[in-house]
Amino acid sequence: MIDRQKYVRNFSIIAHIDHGKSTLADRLIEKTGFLTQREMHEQLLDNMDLERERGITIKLQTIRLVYKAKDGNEYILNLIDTPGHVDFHYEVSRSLAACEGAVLVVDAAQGIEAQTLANVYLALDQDLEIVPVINKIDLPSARPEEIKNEIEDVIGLEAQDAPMISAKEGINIEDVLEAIVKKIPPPSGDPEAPLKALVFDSYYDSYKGVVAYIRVKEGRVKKGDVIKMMAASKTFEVAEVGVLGLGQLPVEELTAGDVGYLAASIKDVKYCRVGDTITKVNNPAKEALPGYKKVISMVYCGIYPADGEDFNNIRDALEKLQVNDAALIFEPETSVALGFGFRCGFLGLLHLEIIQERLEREFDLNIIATSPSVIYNIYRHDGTVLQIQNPTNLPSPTEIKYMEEPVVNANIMTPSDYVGPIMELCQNRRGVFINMEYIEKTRVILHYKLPLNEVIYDFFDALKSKTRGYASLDYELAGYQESKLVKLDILINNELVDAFSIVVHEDKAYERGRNMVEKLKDVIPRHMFAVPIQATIGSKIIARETVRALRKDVLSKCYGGDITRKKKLLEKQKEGKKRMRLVGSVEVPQEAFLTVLKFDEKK
Amino acid sequence: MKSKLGIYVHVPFCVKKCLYCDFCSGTNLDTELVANYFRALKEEIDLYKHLSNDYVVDSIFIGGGTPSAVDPRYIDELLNHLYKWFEIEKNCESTIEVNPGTIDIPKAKDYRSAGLNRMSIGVQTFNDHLLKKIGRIHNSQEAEKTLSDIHQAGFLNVSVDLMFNLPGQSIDDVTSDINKIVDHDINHLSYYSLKVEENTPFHSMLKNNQIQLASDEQEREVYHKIIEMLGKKGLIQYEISNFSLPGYESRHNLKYWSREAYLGLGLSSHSFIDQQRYSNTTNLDDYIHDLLDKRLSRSEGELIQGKDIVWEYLILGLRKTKGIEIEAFRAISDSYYNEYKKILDTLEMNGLIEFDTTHFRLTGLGMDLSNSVFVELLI
Repeated sequence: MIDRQKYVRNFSIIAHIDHGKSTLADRLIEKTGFLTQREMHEQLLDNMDLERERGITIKLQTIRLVYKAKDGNEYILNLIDTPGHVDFHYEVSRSLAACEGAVLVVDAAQGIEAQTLANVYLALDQDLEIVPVINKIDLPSARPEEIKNEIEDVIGLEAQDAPMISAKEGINIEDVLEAIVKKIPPPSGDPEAPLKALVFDSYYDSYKGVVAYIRVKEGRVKKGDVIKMMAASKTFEVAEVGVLGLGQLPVEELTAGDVGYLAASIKDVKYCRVGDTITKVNNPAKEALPGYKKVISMVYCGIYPADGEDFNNIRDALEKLQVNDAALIFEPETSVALGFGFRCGFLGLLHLEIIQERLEREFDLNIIATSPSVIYNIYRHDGTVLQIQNPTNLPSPTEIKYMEEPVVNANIMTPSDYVGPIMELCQNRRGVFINMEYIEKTRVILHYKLPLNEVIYDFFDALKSKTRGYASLDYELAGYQESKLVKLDILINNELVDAFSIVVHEDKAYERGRNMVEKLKDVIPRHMFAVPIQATIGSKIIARETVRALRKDVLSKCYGGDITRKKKLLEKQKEGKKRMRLVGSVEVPQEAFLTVLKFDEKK
Repeated sequence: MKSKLGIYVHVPFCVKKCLYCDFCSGTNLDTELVANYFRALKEEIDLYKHLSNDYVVDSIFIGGGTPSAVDPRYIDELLNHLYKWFEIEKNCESTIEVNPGTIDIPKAKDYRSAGLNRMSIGVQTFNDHLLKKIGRIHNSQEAEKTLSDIHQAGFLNVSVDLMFNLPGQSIDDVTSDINKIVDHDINHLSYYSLKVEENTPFHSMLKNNQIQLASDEQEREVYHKIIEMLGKKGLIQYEISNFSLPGYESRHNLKYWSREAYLGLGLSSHSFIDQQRYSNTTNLDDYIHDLLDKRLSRSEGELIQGKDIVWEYLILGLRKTKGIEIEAFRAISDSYYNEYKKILDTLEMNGLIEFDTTHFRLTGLGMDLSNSVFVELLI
């Protein structure tokens, strides 16, 4: 082993959501003496507002720490942050592939959760050394000894000497650093071999172009090298390499074992995908690092400007977001009801929600999103197969022989008290029970096979409300199954509103249709005429409601000659109308497009 | 020739605040406060006396609050001050608002001798149970007495305020109110539908289900019934909420709807002079303080121009049942004419306005949905 590698440790922190990953990262940064306490922002690594609000990490941030260990040596600790949510499996797996070890944070009160396990399995896939850490020992409900046993029993990791910490209170953080140094192996890899560097994240910088976060597995790379992105098959000249302190610190070169960044005037993020391998044009590596895959979008929806003039602004914003988020895909589409917009693909529902919120908050755009959809396989009588993700594009039912929908294996971890309600929920969502495992006396994992189109439809919220937030969910795609699916349309004032169309299982169509028309009835304002709202399958009406005609819209008494105030009130009303979508002659508020997505599972 | 001017004077004092009221008024009848307020009013008149170079006053309206809640000598002094600085037409319509329970024959006689010739009486309803429910201080007997008292005192030009859509008010209650009111010698009636405004006790009572209101459909049914019933009694609707015997339309109100000049004096009043709109402060202490310092206490003037003139002309003019004269509108709207005409045509198609050879006006449906019409006309 080369000497400089001996004092390097590359690691991630993995945890179930809210078990304290980001807080621990902050403490590690603080303890390594990088910053004074005053300079520390709370939750230093999560730098997007949205993340802070939701308490989850969306985008990776990586940082290099310098730690003087008890053995007297100074170590470089590259902390590679990972997103903490089920939608970002692939990104997590690539981050882990850049490490030799992972710190597994387990909440001393809650114990192992669904994503704890999912992340552990990912780490084990990469042969990482896992360092368990028991966090939140300051909580009155903490039961660290039990949790240690749980880690040993459920995961099979030695946990008796796991550091017992409170990241929030700063207790025993030193133990974590020592465990990282002692337990996680240093990187290996031949600096003289042909270059192989793994891209585990990238973002767009307006000066440097795409900046890749890389882990050099073999060889070395420096400014001026002509490199090749092996999957993208593109070559670039390296403009800068460096390490990630607080900000980017340019260095001469990065060699095997190092984690750092690389800029090569790459103009388009699609040439620098997460998981790709960088090599040199001269003396290239024979084969790329394993594990690269093109990210597959699992959930789709249409995103439209609330104000038609914003079309180009939305495209610009999506392009900007895509630059840092290769998993986001989009293409222009047209809706009869909503005009020009984009069909967008996401990793999952959370990813979708995050993008929507970022468009609204960071880019200050007013958008309308259509019902989320998944990809269906359509087998036609003529033997051809179609893949459709926009319900509007479904061929006529007479052409369809049968349809298939994607299913997932869902693992739901829950206190055993909630098994009943969860089973009921899964049953309602057409789930097929696989089995149930006891983790301990009062906690179980339920394994279900669930259609993805049921999961994307408000499943998380329903699960949370049924279990008072105690259950956790993890899922992975498990192929396709034949299913009796129908297209459910919504007609407002006898006009089909394509943006509301959904594909739904035959047995659920009536319930969904009823639910949608009832919701729409509440959000569509009264017009000067009665507005019928119908849910239909083909030509069959399965549910109907009517928004009664507006009978009264008057301002209060003539207010002592105060015309100005009256004008302001009316202008406000006019503004409100402008934000509505005209469907035929009916004004539909944006809210309508959001509310139909929520199911409000009956308690 | 001088232009006509209407003068509104606000008297923000009441014996008790009604549960639905969101007008600018208080119940502090402290003599020094009232005296100061009227001193301030006189200062304000002084500051506007230059208007008499260009205007002659043809209507005065003393409203509130409850102007009859204060000593009539204040009203007398106020009018004297107006007469001192302004040219007042001989047949000027001079109205004072009074509420039953605050007026008797001597007081009414004082008003007569002060120069007032018209009285507007806040009856609201003759149903004692409802009067109590909405927080009025009077009962139906007092209302009836007030009506006969003022007649005796010599007021022949009388307007009454009534309300419908009161919580729990039936159509029979409304019919009975109308039958009672036509027994008295009145020539003008303002009939307002109760609207629950924010920041009133009714607003929270409505939210807490302590009062219930009729549905929009029921309310409109009553409204149209009222128009019909009053019409049969000779009280013709001339504006969304106003009715009169022919020739007794309120000159003062018509100024608002015809975009004629008016000067607002007193707390929270509004003025429209030389195409500029002003509003006075709504803070009583500020008002008194500023005026006693010989400073106006009003907003910056807002000059109405271009399209806004046309819009105002439309939304105010359409309140009148006579409607708007097509040729006059063509002249006013000028280069905007085509743009507005297109909207008016759509509104006609939707049955909200109607045209005849000379005028256009709101239909019955248009009155029910007047707000929607006005919003459409905002361009």
